[in-house]
Amino acid sequence: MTTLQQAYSEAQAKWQELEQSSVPVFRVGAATCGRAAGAQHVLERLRAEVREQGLGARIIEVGCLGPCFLEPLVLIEKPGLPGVWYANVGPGEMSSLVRRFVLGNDPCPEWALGRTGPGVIDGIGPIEEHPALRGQVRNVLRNCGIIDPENVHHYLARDGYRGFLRALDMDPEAVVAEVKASGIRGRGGAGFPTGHKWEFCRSTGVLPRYLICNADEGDPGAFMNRSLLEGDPHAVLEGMLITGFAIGASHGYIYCRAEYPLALKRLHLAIGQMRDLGLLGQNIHGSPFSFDITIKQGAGAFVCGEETALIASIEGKRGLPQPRPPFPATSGLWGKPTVIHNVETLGSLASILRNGAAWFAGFGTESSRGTKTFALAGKIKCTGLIEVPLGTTLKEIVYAIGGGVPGGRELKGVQTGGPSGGCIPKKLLDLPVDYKTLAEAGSIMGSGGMIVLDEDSCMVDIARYFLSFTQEESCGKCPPCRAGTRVMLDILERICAGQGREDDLPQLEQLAETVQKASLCGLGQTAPNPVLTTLRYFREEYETHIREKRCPAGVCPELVHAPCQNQCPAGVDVPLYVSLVGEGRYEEALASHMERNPLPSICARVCPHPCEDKCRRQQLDSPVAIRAIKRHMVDTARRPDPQHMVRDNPRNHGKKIAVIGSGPAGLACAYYLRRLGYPVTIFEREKRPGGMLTYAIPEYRLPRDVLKAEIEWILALGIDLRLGTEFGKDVTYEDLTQAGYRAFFLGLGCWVGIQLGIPGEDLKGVTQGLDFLLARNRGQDFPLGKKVVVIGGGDVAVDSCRMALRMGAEVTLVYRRTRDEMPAIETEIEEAEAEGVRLVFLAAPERIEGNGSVSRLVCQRMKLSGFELDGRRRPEATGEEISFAADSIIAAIGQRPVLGDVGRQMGITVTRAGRIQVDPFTNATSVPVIYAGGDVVTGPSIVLAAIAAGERAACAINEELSKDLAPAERSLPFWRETTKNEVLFDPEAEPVTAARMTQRTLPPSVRMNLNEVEQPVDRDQALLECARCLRCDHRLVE
Amino acid sequence: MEASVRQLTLTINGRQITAPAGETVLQTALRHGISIPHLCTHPNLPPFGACRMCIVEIDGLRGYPASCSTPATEGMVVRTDTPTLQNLRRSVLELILAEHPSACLVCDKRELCEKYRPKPDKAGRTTGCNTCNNKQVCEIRDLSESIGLTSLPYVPFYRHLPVQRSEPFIRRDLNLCILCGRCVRICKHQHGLATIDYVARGSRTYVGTAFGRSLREAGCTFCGSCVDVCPTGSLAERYAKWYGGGEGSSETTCILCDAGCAIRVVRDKDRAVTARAINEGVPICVLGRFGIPPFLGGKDRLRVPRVRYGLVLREVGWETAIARARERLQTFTGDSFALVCETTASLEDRHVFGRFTGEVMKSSHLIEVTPDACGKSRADLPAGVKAAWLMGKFVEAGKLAGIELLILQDCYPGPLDGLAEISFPAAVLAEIDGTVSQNGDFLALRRACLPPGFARPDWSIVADVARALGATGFTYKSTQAVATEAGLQPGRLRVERGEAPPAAMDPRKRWTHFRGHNLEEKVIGLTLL
Repeated sequence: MTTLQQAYSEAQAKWQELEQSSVPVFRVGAATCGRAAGAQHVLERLRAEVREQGLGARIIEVGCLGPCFLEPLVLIEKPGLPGVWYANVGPGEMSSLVRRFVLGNDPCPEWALGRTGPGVIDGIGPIEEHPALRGQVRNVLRNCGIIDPENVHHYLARDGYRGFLRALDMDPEAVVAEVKASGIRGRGGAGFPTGHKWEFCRSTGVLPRYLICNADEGDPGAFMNRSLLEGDPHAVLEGMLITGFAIGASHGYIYCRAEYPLALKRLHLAIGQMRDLGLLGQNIHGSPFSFDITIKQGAGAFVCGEETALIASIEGKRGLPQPRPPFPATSGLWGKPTVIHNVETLGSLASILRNGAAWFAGFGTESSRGTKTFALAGKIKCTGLIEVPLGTTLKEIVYAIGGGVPGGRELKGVQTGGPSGGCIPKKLLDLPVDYKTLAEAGSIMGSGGMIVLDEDSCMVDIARYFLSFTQEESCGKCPPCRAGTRVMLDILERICAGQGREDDLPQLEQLAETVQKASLCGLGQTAPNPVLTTLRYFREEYETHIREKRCPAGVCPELVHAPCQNQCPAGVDVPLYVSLVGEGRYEEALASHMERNPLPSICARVCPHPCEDKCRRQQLDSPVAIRAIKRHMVDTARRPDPQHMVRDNPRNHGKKIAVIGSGPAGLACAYYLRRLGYPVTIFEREKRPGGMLTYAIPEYRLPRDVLKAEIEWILALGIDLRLGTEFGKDVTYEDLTQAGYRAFFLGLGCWVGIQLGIPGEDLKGVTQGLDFLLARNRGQDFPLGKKVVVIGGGDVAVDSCRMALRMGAEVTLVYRRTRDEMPAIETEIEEAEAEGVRLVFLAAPERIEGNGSVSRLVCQRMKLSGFELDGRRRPEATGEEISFAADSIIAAIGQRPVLGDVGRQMGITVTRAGRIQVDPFTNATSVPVIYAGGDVVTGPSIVLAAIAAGERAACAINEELSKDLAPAERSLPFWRETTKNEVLFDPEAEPVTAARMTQRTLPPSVRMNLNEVEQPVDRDQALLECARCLRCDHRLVE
Repeated sequence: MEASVRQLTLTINGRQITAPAGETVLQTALRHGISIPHLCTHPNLPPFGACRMCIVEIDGLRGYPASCSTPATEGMVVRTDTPTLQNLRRSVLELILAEHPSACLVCDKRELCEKYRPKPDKAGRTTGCNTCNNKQVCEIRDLSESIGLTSLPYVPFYRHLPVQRSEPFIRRDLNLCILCGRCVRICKHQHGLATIDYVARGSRTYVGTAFGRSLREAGCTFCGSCVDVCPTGSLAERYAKWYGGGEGSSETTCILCDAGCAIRVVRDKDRAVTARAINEGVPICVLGRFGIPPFLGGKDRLRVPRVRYGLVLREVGWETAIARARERLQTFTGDSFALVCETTASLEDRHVFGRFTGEVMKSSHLIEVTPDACGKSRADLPAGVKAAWLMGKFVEAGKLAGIELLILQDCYPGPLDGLAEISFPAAVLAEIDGTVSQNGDFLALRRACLPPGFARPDWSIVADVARALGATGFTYKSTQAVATEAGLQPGRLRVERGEAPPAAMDPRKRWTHFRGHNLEEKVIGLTLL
């Protein structure tokens, strides 16, 4: 046995030698996570290289630095140079690094993550500046990835056991006081103040007392404790010594799950090292304090993370929780006072004792002091273990450190605290993470698991998953937890399978309350949290499952026919029509398409095809060009006879329906009602039908003859259209009611542009984008001058640019963020750029200057700083100005509906944004028999969303007007029935290898007119494209 | 010692009440007549806190603690019946019933069923609810009534576990189990063994043995305590299952060994149906718990007196049998007669036997055999004995070579029947009143059921024969009359026993014989132990 003092000097010398090594030093992250990523192979190759090259080198296996997505990680310190971290190192890269960097002089910056230590290397920045590490504060993890966890000298050299030695010089009461002053709270989840726990235990006056380290980390997706135990076991053991001394415990237990073999191995090793150094046993370091540590392996029951169950397990019994009181602090292990701490709590104590309470309390918030480790997992770019001060916002964690959601998907929420926690929605990402705020949001801190969810995560499915976990792991002792979670799970499974019932949600809530309040232990009391928070923040998603039998995220297998169809707002059966086109059965294809979409030719040109975003083919290469196939279909197929679309029901004949507005919503509503035999009249203010289709979308995108033909075909079903008739003026609600109209659909659109709200906006030459497009589409003259500046990043802005360009202007588009954040359709932006629009980003309009008429636009130069809730970077003024000479300025930053007196007179509830409020499932307004849909409800949106709204309203109107009929006499929305897909498909065949087709367009040089830019699709190409479909709709029939 | 217990004052539902330190809130409340529903709690078991029915609100304690496990403390303020608690209890009960086939609770035939409930094997066959073999008492049903539950919101989750019928004496239908844990705890509490425990997790949790072994492989002693405490029909006695819940019972002493356990024998239609320990604090052995009804109810019990005519013993009336006995015994007075009985026979029997042998037969050969450690008794007849009256199977056939008259008085036929001239059917065990002497104690036997057929208590048969032989003074009206004549002090029941008899802890230590009969041949299941 060496004395501690000798050990310290030895450690210092060894560390010094390592720091100033004359040979290269390799540190390879070889914790479990590194090994899973292949660190063992990297090590093998490294050793082989070192041998072969006859290199004098030191190779150290270190723990985990944190960023899992960068594993395996290798740090190379070449004498005289700063150390360089390399990420995602495979055996091949390892060889190259040895040859190119260690033997040669090429530091391979392309693989480097960052440098550490003094000195500079070109092309490699400091590691602290790496986005995934910036913003982190590594207190608990300070040694992880740096020291050799199996070498106690490394730990000692970095002030190991100094905290304990300081404690040993103090009174136990003073240690308790110090820890109380630091404000540290239990890191296991409940957040009980550590110092208070110690006091309770001490105040019993009973001896012996015990200390237990809870290393039974069991949350899915959580690996904080494992990383710490593998990367720096002595830190935890030092914390145990400190706690043992403070509470007067004679023995400590580490309850670690057997699934952590590496952690167990290193703990055993470290305990042996402590013994050798005289840090365990009788009269440690000459003091009256005697302490020893025993490791107890757990079999991996989740419930054994619960204190009383854990104690039972150590005592050799089944891990069943016991009712409290008595609390373990007064009567715990073997009936004696026992303190139980999470690994991370213990791992924090050494620093507190070493640096003092004030140092620790300097991190975090008022109620939650210090730093906390979190395991980032799920739909996030930078997965891994992080440590941040408490109070850091979720936004920062998810977007800045985590890098946001991969694949351009939209973030939906963050599940914190594992199966006992809750889902925090995107809108609350501003929350500073601490015990209090998370609890208020319905979640918990838990031990620190964070699972990021994106738009492809179904919240019902998430709740179902977590509940199935708690249900499986329930110990079975008390009925609320055992049976309650099972009954809840049954309900959730039913909802996911499309068998949900209207009363399921209240019943879920009632059950959740019972389980929460009546369960014996924390497992049951928190088990409903995932359900409750998803119900609280994503209730509509549940309702969609129950009422529409639809899974918006496209996850629940029983509810999703194919991801493309699921994503289409109108629910068009995409695989069916694609397959039919592929077989050359154009008419059948179009007919099936038109069951759900009466405007196929229009959508073939203007739809931003959300279906393609979800196409599974993109996991293979790139999505099927669904819109191009549709274009080929509508160009080729003959339309069905309109009369064949109607399934007449004479009982509907007398029930007149008024549709206000002939935009896509109104047209769709009229179309579907007419198909059920209702007499429908459309009242349109303008001289031509089509709403925004006619008046906002430029002709070069949507030729007028196509539009006209499509609308005329719909009217040919027998729909009465009254043009030039403004609702509320030429004809009123009372008029129509008296005339016998039984139901109303308001498809009023969004016809007013939103003001910029900057000085000079009233100057001549400043106009709204929408007004400009309206005027052009009405055939009015609209002089612009030579220099035109368009403000905004949406579709109207881009359309205005391209329209102005066609009038011979020089066009500049000014947007306050960057291209990545532009909401306009990506291809439209590309076309605009190709046609010669100048795009200026990061410029926010500040004022418009001019004398009577506009002369220039002055903007603030912006820079991107923090994150918005949706993950877009927030533009921030830099103070620098930039100005643009302009003859005209077109503002296109958004639109709103103009309801005028319509809403007020009829008593319809309107939202704060000035839109009509409707029931999302029926599109019913607050007034009976009045329905609304389209942009007037949603704000500017895509054509298919309006069509879907019209269809929903038509179904709801039909149901309302059929109330007095016998069930057999009622009309049903027959188009919603799924058609049997009788098309050829060989599930055994390999997918065709063809690349995604590109759509032909006019060359930019000949576009300065209103001719359609997009050109018809080549037949052979289109048919090949159809064959690329993977046919996700296919189901194996047993 | 009791006097020194500190008294606490607490408030329950606004009432100031006192409680001795160490009592739980539930105990205090119940003692003061404040009812709190409870299910997993059992007076003989330490608190467990599983069923959550007894939850209460206590100022200063978070959530809803279980009153069964929360010690009463000074100044505690408890509420037991707030609307929140009522709702929670109802919800929890609904969840308990979601795992327990409970159609009987809401059955529209329930009222009628109540009448016939003691015979569910009859009603159940036709109504389909015969999965439950709970008889008279169903704690779930009582609880549902007290909570006022009238509907079941959830479809019961049926576990589809096969009913375990292969264990001796105990039938386990885990589909009915509500996992209250009483059986697990009583086993651990009484035997210190984890013979059974919770197995698996979540809704698949059940009570079973390690590695799915059978109960006997797992070390079960078949004391039956688990069956006694089970609040549902999940654990049932295989024998009793076919009978009703009983029409009455008597407390008596088990004389199947010398431990003298006080038991309550339940009868139905005058037959013994089941037996249980009176002192629930300690277990009794498998014989006392499960052996008596099947032994008494054996199909080949002797029911009628028999008398030899040539080669056969023919069933006859008592008069004929006694007349033959008188006729034959007259020639064997003096030491050529011997009467053999066991010391386990009641003192009344032994008193009459003694008087008969000495006064009537003028013989000195009243042979009272003490059973060995297995309960076996062996007697040798003294030389010169020509007539023997055996009160059981105590003498081997080979040793009866010189015997001219053999009278057997027993409960079951035996190998000596071929040699016997007269066979009297005797009432035994729970069929008789009396007093037995065990280790200096006088223990009471109290009749619980009727003997089969024409069987009668031993002393009364002997007394009849004595009278027939012209003796006077054998005119007892009852066992009590015998006792009075013999000057016996009244027997008592050994209910205060603090320690379980050895056989209750290890079934191999039980007696194997009663009255010379191998119990394993009479009680199905004992051979499996």
